[in-house]
Amino acid sequence: MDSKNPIVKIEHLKFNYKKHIVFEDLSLELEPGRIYGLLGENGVGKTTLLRIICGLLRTKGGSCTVDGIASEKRNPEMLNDIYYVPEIFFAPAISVNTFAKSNSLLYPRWDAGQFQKLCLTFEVDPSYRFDKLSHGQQKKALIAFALALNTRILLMDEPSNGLDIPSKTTLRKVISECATEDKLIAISTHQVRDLENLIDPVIILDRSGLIINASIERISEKLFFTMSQNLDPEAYWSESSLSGYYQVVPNREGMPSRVNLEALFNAALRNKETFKALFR
Amino acid sequence: MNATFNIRRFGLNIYKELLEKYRIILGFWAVIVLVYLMFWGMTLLLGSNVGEYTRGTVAITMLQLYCCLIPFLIYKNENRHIEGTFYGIAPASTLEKTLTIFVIVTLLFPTLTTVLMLSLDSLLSVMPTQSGFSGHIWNTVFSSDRFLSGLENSMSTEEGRNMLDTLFFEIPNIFFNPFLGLILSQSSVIFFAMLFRSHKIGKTLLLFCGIGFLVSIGATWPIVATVKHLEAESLSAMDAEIMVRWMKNFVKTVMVFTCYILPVIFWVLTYFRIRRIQY
Repeated sequence: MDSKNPIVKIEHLKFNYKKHIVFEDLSLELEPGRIYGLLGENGVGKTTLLRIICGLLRTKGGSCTVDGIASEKRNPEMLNDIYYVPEIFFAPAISVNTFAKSNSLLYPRWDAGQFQKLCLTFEVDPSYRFDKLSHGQQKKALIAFALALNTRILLMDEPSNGLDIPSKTTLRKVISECATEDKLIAISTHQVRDLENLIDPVIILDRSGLIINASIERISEKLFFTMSQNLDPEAYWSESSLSGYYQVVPNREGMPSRVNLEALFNAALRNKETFKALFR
Repeated sequence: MNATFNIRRFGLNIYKELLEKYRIILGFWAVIVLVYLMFWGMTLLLGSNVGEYTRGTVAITMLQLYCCLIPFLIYKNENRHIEGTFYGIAPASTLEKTLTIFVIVTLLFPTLTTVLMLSLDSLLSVMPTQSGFSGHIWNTVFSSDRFLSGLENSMSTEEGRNMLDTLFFEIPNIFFNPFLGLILSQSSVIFFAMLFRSHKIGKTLLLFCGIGFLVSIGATWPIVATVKHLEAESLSAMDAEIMVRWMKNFVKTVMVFTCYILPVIFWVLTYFRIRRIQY
């Protein structure tokens, strides 16, 4: 399979929880070999989108396919190539080792050695009972398990939530090590600074749908992230500090700059229509 | 690989669920053993002697209760939003997941629990005590005629017993087997354990009470209405044989429906419930 063919295709997706409309007409394609960062305000549907992709939720209109198979069918062939790490999960009253042993049985590329190594890296003892571990330890154990499954699609909902600072560094390291050309990783997060150097492309969602789905390279082509003494009248977003203004401005001269995800997110939320047109 | 059913995947799914749930089953068995030991202890304390027929009835009643409880214990979380996520994304088809429940809850658990209870009973019955258990219950538990003998014992007149004989003579004994009744009650309970997300046992009991009430009203109302409108003479003139034949067919139809058709309906409903659970 051509690694640049999209694995996940979302077309005109509609979804609602009773009267609360989440998606009205969302279209999106996700390709392998990338680590997507899914950003958005609370309640815009980041978790819902991940749950729709892995088949936990059924679309109300439009389609979501994984390798051409409608995700809502929960086809086992599709499911054994996809794993979802939820933000909040229920840790069963069994040891992490037993959880890993039982839950990995149906995944063909499971690597038990890799799991033990990842547990060691995260400093989690897999012989402990899952439900007796702290929240952070549970999260690390689940992430280690998810990475050792070696599924082609890995969806992670707020993976850095509840992790201490060294663990966040370890998380970035292990995710970047596990990312391969045939693997699609999608991470939904509010903690943009935790994963800043990891995610590319960036997807920003809002209540009206998609604002941005662009690579870091494309974003830096279009936008310039700078610190200056004077406020640019065309700035999409700015924040004053003792050393001047940190701004997101149009990249008029094609100068490269380091994309600041938090600034990008704020700029996108303030200039939704402009950004939609800019990154169409 | 077949997306609907694959024998290897099915086997692995059973193994997966047993690995996850064996502790709950073992804990439940410990409770079962304890309850049975308490039953034995009570007979010793009271100095009574409990024969094989009484014990057979007690054992079967307990077994039916345990088999109705087990789906709520081991499939407590599978349809819940947060707790059921890992079940929802497990790469097995809906058919495999449904059949896994069937194998664990309807085949393995009742079989092993029956063996456990009967072995324990046998062990207790050979204990050198003055009172307690006497005789072996293995034959009485599997016999189908406990229901009939119970009914006949409740009849005080010879005519009544003869009528019962006539009524149930042509109905196959298998219908009165307690294990068949167990399959029916379990299939409905499994469906409700998968249907309700919270307060599963309470909601199921309420539903059963509601349905029971409606069915009893629905069944008695037409009979009362018919009898009211019939003249006493025409009632006595009715051929008793026709009445018995009609009753016989009615009982047979009800038996076939409840023992064969209803369980199938509940299993199909469980399949579609698992297929459509939204997490």
